[in-house]
Amino acid sequence: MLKPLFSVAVTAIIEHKSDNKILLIRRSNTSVDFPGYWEDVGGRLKQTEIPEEGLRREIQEETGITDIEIIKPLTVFHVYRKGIETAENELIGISFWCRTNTKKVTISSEHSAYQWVDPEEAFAIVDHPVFKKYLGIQIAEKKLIEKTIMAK
Amino acid sequence: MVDSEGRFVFTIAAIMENPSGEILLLKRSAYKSPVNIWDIVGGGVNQFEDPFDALSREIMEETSIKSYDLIKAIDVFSDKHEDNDIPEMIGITFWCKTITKEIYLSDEHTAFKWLKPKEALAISEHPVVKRNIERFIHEKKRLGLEVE
Repeated sequence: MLKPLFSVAVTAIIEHKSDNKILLIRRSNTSVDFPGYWEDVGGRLKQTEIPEEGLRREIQEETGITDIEIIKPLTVFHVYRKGIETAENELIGISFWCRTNTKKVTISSEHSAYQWVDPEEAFAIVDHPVFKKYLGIQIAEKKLIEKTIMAK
Repeated sequence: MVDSEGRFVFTIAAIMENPSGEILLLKRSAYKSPVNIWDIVGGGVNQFEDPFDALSREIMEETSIKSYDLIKAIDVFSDKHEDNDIPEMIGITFWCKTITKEIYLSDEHTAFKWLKPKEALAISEHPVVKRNIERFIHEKKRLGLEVE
């Protein structure tokens, strides 16, 4: 029997270690999907690439950041590229929560701008439905962990 | 395909925890590779299937558990299949909780056990299963919860 196959994307909510702000980058206006939308960093895995490797590669390509601590995965999402519901456009994405000490960002031609913002502010700015969902998960998980640390 | 984009089998799995803090291990049957090992619940996402629907379906098929809470994602893993003609697999594991005690196995498994996480870690032989349990223990500790 033929195995179902998917493109797999990895994305990163990058949090700065000193001020807890997170990085948003803006898709260029010529993007096929979601032009001009604020999003997080990420992209599709290449064949033979493991998720953490692909994540680090995409982060470096899109932001120039190389010091990355991967905290944990946040969730999966399921989309069809270009909104076309065929097997070859079917994509499963994994979002990760990451941290860095780097503030300087060098964006690639895929993006037109970037900003570091407080997570709640990011949640208000972002209108990409998929990103908004896992940003909400990151905010909720962080609150739970902070509550634990405070209680100690 | 225009670029070197990969195509992967996608697996979705669960560390299923009961109210006593025990987690569910299932013994794989002799015909499904890797054979006879203690595994956690999970399986492949079907084409056009939402991954969370796939998780519920696999849990239902393998254990008959209909009701559970999804707590959080805990681990991502990848594995090359033994047969090189079969594509690589990428997977994600979620921590889930259930109050259901009754387990009915499918023919994919021959036995089940509810074990304290450290006991489960001790009997698990597969590196991915081991890592999933370790990540589960790590996440519980991060939330200040006791792990036996």
